[in-house]
Amino acid sequence: MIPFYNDISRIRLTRLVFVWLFFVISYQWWADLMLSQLESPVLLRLDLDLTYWIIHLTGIGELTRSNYPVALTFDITLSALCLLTAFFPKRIVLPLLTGIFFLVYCVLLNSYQCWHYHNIITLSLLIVPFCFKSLKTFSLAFTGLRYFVAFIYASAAIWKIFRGSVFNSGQMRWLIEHNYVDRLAIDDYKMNFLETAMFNLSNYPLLADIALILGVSMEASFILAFFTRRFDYYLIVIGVIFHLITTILVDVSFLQLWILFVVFIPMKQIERMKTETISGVD
Amino acid sequence: MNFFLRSAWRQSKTAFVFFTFFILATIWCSLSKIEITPFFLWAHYSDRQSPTGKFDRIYVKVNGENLDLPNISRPTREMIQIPIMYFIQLEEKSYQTSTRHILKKHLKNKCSKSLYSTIEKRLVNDVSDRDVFLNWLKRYIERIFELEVRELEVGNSVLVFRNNRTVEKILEKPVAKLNFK
Repeated sequence: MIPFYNDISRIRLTRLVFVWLFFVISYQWWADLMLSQLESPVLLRLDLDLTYWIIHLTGIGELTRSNYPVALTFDITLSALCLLTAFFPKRIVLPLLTGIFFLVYCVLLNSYQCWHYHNIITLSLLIVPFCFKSLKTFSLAFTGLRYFVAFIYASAAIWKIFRGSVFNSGQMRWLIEHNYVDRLAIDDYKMNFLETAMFNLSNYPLLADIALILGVSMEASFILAFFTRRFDYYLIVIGVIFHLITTILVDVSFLQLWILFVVFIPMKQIERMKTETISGVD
Repeated sequence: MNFFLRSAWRQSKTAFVFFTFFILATIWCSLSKIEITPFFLWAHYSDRQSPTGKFDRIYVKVNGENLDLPNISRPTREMIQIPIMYFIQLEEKSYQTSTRHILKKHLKNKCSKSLYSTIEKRLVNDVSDRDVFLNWLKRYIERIFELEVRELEVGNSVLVFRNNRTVEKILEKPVAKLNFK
């Protein structure tokens, strides 16, 4: 069944998503990671990602690196676009522009960071449904996105099962040590209570192995989303708990991606949303 | 999922083609272990690892002292750490990367010298970027840590867990050093 979103529910979703994006960009400002704050980076790593190639070939990367006012204008425009889209959710041109600016920003940042992170670039896919004027296309794209989000977690679980890492004794111990080794190498570094508790988990191999199996089971539970919507609410809870645990254990928060769980919000939970279905569907 | 595709087919043939293409491209990229945005490989932390208690790490020394990286936020820290890791890789490979290799193989003889030079300049680094990179690192560190960098050293180190679960640095190998005085 494809839920049919009405105008009001679409507006609510637009505001939610783009206000979140504005906070994501605000965090990037705070972390000195906007293009104008990068002090004209030198190295860039594109690997074989042709999208990265195309964006750099346009010369936008070179322009923002060599020209501070251009970089600053780009950053301010991107921030303003997120807010403007939230304030004027019916103007289709705004999410379209935000999507383009956001994708370019993520590609440039990942290139200069020399690692193709998924933590914010994935949000450019969340913008796609909002670029369509027709409610039918929006509903189709938003529903398609729900499967994509489920795929993200299911795929991560399947790869761990396929490669055997989930049942690899010592895997979790390695992950924790890998995360904590830099901090522990500093003579006067004082771990807080939570860090101490989590690091101590690596001293109990059986418990650490069980923690990994539980984590992968949480990821694997998203496979359910391919067959039913009945557990969507639980998947949001599982997803948030999963990320809280990975934040503490392996310092991977993916906090920016939490907004993706909006695709699992049951229809009835979105205030005043019509629960019609597109005629002629299952 | 098949119900979704069936519904998409009934509602819009264009949407059906788009979703089918997206699914097939994602599967192809996943199986080929290639990423072409937006077809990502979602396989985080799935490589098998053995806990040897030994880790290769980069180090950064500013004015003769190790930079206190763990005390800054992870994204900012990685804007310093990962480019240094990549810089060390580039130094070891004499700046011969997979991107440069593909460019040479498919474009060098198919476009003019000036166009190829522009493309190369926009997509890859070369050995002339060595000192420029270290100067950038100085500027960025000064911005983040609010200190004056007079001397900068980056290199590889090896960290090991002792039996009492503390960590010891057993090796430090400098890769590049620059004095700004």
